[in-house]
Amino acid sequence: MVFAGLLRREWLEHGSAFMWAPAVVLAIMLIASVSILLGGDVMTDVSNAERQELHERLGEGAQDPGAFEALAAMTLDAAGSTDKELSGKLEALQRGIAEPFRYVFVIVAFFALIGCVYDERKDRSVLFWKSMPVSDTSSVLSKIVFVLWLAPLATVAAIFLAQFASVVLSSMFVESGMGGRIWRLSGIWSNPFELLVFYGMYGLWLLPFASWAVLISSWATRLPVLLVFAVPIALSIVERLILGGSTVAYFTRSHFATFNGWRSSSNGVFDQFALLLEPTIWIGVIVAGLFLGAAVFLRKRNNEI
Amino acid sequence: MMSGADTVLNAAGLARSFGDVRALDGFDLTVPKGRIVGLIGPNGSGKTTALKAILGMSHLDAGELDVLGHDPRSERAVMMQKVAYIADTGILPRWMKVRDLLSFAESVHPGFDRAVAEAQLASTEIALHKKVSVLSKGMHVQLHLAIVLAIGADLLVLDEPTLGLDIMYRQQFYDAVLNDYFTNQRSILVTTHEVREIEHILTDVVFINHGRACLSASMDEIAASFVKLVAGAEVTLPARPIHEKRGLAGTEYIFQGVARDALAGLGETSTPNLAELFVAVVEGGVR
Repeated sequence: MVFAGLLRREWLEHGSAFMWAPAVVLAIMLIASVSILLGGDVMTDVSNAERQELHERLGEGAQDPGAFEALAAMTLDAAGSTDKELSGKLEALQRGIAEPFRYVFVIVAFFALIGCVYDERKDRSVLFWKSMPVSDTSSVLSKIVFVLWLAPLATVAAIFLAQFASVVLSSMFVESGMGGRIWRLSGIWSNPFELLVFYGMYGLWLLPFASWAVLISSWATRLPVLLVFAVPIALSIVERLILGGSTVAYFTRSHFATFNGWRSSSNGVFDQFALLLEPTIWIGVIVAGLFLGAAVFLRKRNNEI
Repeated sequence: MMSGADTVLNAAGLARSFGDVRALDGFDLTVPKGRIVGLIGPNGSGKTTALKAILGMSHLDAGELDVLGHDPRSERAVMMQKVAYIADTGILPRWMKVRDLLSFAESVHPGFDRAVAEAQLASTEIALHKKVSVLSKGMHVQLHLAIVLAIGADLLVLDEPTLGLDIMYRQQFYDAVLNDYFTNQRSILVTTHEVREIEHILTDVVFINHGRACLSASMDEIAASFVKLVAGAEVTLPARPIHEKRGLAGTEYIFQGVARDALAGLGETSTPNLAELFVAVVEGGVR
């Protein structure tokens, strides 16, 4: 009950950012769905000349309705593909659609986390929050749980809508008679579940860095955004110069910059869970626990800035 | 250390340093049940540091602390079910709507009675759909008070609650605290440097200076043991005053532990007000 109230509080403060950001991406994609179809893996087998010609035809807009059909036909080449090839192309398309949403989510999540304690210290509302019978541990946990595991739901919904729209468009503009095949091979109905699992795992992957951001948010009295990056960079340099190692740099990079969460779909969603078997994830969880413990300790002591 | 059912708050030997500055230097404080205790001192005397420690919002270097049977340092969350707090200039989250703020309090505070808060707000101009950021300073404090009244805590801690408010709101605020919050089962600890504003509602007073309590007494004790004498320059005093100040009407002397009868005939005697007494105690020292 108390924790639900805390999560709702986080939703009230940050929810609109997590809703609007993917909504804007979705709107841009739908409006410019043409450029989505032109980008990404699906176009690798289309020559530049053909691409150029399509651009020109599409540039004339709605006056050339055949352009879309030609585009879908050329890029997916449904008639000339085996089931396996076509489903591979469709999956690549859907992954390509999902990626921009993930980048936007990470940016919004980063700023929500870096501000989560810092902002309440800055506007002195931390004194009000602390006057409620809520422990610092619950407060800090609610912030990270909200950002990593509740906020992505809006992103998941937007991604699914975008992917659904892509299947609708593909099936409409593909060679006649191939629409049903597109629907059958797209695997669209399992996407929501796969996306949920993906973002569940992604949250686990981001946890160390997210916890670090919360720690800085509780500690910094100024420039928290800068400090989040400055400290690991400084540590990496020191480690390299003195110890000749690169553990900090590697850990930082692997838990923020790169994520290979979309595994081969041959085993479907179960590959996503395979992340749980990697020791680095659990090392990350332990590190995150230490960071969050420190964040709780600091929030307890620090008040207004 | 005194404690028991009649004591709401007990602090003994509180100490906290910021670098070389000793914000609290062996500070003692007791708040009995059903009392309104004023913590009075100049800026930088340690008032706010003491309150933050009492509320479990900051740490101490040393000292014993008991608030309603809890140690605020380790049990703030539980303790806050029975303690309410209003600070100087609004601390309510400005991005929140009034309605959402009430919902939040309802969800995390077992003692919060939403109907009480809404009834209280109905008598103000604060609309539930308004954001806190658009409320005036006075309304901000009214809203905070409505939340506090809905909590019905055993101890209310007020830290300069009327700072920056205009006179009308100041008066309303203390009236509401007295009429709607205070009972003989509840206690209030209030700090302010506007002593005159709260003098008439206090039952007890603690003067704090340089992080130490330099006087702790009930208002009755103060009336019994301190006396102000305004007399001409040529009088022979029966005892040494703790403080004297030349004024237009003559010299003002403040005595401690001197019977009024002994001063009768020398001039006009009265009970010093808290501002006069504070200056006397801080400059002259209490014997």
